[in-house]
Amino acid sequence: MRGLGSGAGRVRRASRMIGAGAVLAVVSLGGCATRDADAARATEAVVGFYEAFAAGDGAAACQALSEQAVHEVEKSSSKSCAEGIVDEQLDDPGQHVDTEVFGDEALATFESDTAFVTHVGSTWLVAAAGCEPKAGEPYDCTIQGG
Amino acid sequence: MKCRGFLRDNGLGLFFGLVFLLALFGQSLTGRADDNNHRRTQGREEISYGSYVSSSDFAVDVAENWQSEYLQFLLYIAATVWLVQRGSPESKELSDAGTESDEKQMVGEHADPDSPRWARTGGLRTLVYSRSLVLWMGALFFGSWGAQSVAGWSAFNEQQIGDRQPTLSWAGYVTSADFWNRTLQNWQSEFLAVGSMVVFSIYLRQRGSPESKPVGAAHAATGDTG
Repeated sequence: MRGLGSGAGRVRRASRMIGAGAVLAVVSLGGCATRDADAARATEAVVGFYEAFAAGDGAAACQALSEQAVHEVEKSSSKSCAEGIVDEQLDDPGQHVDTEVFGDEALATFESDTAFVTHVGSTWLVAAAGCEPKAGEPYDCTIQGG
Repeated sequence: MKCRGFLRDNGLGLFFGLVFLLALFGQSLTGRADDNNHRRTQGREEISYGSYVSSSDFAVDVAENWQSEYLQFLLYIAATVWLVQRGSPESKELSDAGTESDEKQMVGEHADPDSPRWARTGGLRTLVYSRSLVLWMGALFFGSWGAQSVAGWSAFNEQQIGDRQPTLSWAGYVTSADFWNRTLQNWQSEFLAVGSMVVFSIYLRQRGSPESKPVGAAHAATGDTG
């Protein structure tokens, strides 16, 4: 047996890693399969938020927000979330264009708006809405949590 | 007694298999704890163990190390065909550089009765089998590097969205500083380790290890293992 490059022990060690590689591949594929379902649920959360906001239902709109977003609305308006949210200036987002999901975070793009959605427990909640991109900087959001 | 014999005959493979699993489990526990520390400071809910080990954060941390290990073996196996190092047990004899003769490699008509079948048959099968270790290591390297790129892309974009920043496409990610920093910080350590082993083994010994020359072998002796 000749050293590091051709040692049988090295080859056996490699065979253990091959099995683990297969596990990693399966985990990655499993992650992809749930992505579409998560995107749909994240989109539903944003659409539900905008519908409640457009209907003037502050309580329902706040239910769709993340805890930090609720806190920010209360802090900036000095009112309860349900009362303060209806005073926010949010335009009609237009048609849904796309939702990208990465782990516990999602970016939902509409014709004239962008919203950030976060996975909390078993639900998706709106973390920021009314967002506009700014070159080289974070999005500028009307509703901003965290 | 049979079991004891099996353990003795396969001790090296079993030992590394076991410490690999223990280390991977330890990484999953400490990685989750570290992730939850960050989540607490950001006011986010903690992640469960199951969610963490199926997350892109864990996958990229695993895959970036795996790809560099396989690259290490891929390059080492390929480089030691042609490159030699005087005095190193990791090297062939200086005069043996190259793919060597069929006789020395025991292929085709020079194969032994107990040689692998594909070493005896000749043609494409022997050609492929003669390079199967490099081909397989290469497949594992590119596979795990690809897995790193996908998992790293997902983890990077999750962080970007959390920071209210725009996301990157996969193509954008594999040309990003994050991808190449993760990649090169692993590569440099592998190259250092292999290079160190090649050079240190010229002068230093470990009695009984096939990775070392015999203790009494001359520093100039190349290719000896003890």
